[in-house]
Amino acid sequence: MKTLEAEKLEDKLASIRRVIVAVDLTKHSGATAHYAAEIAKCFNASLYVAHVFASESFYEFGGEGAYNLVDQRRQDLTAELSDLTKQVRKLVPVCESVFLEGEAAEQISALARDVDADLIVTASHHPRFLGRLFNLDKAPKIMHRAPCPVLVYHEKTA
Amino acid sequence: MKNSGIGSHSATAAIERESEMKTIVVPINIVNGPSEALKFAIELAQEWQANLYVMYVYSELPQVSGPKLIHALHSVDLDRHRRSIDLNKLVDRIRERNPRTFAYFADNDCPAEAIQDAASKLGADMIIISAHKKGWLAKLLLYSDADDIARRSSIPVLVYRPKSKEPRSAKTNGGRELKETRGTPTAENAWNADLSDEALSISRTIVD
Repeated sequence: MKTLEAEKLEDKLASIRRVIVAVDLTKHSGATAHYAAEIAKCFNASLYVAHVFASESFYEFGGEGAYNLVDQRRQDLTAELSDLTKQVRKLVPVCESVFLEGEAAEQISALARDVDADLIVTASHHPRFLGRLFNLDKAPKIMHRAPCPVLVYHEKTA
Repeated sequence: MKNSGIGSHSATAAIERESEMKTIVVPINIVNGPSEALKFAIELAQEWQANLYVMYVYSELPQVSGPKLIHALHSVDLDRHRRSIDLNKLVDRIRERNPRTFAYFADNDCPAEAIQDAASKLGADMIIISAHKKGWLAKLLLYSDADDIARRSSIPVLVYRPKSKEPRSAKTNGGRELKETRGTPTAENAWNADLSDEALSISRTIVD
């Protein structure tokens, strides 16, 4: 027979069990990933640190060395993502990195469906008018396509 | 005179606890009753032992002028008063489960602005809002109230959307197998159903 405490714990764990944090591997990514890790830790959830590499933009200018450049860039970003995941793993032991290629919102939504994510954490760095006009901020797109709740993180400014 | 060591230590600890205490603001549409976002916010507030502010922004100010205004104001006052009562009733109900729950009623033409102001005043750590179903134009322009709030906010904004029921592949990109282990009916679900009943009665009151 289940005790009341066990039932309570099960209820808590049923709410958020898998968290995805989508990072762009800029200087803000560390803070975003740590914030997501704190939330995952709070719920005993597993964490996926995901980055989407937009390789198409490189191929458009495809020359002789373009493929090598793309490969090099991909390797660098994979290493950065791996480092970030290692840092976050100190807080959330069940944590893994996911490197994806394509359109950010689409790939993150697909990953959320695949892993049955309960929460997506992403960041918005207060884009200005031009940034919004040219769709540089991915957070709204992720918000619109996500199959689950999305937490848009804003780093606190001093 | 100096405080004793133990006293000052416990006071410092209390201050630290107070400063660490999180605050969540959850704007709702009281006409629709408690949303899934509110249930999620209650759960998160319980988990964090956070202060939960259930907020309603009254933005239905009359679009009339001149002699008609005096009549319009009376109905606005009544409507506003009813909604305020409904909000307090709902908060009382939530307080049974999470004692650190408070009502926050605001008047503003622009809900996003009011929510941002309230979050700043309360020193909130998170805003939780519902993602509403949008029309094709809003989708095309990638615009909604949630976008507006998320864009204006200087603190994290959680846009709550119930999990999609769409079928998904059995394996992840990494090849891990996934198992479906959704929860069975619990006391919590019963409470949620109860809360929904409460919402229905509130909605009926408003209609009446």
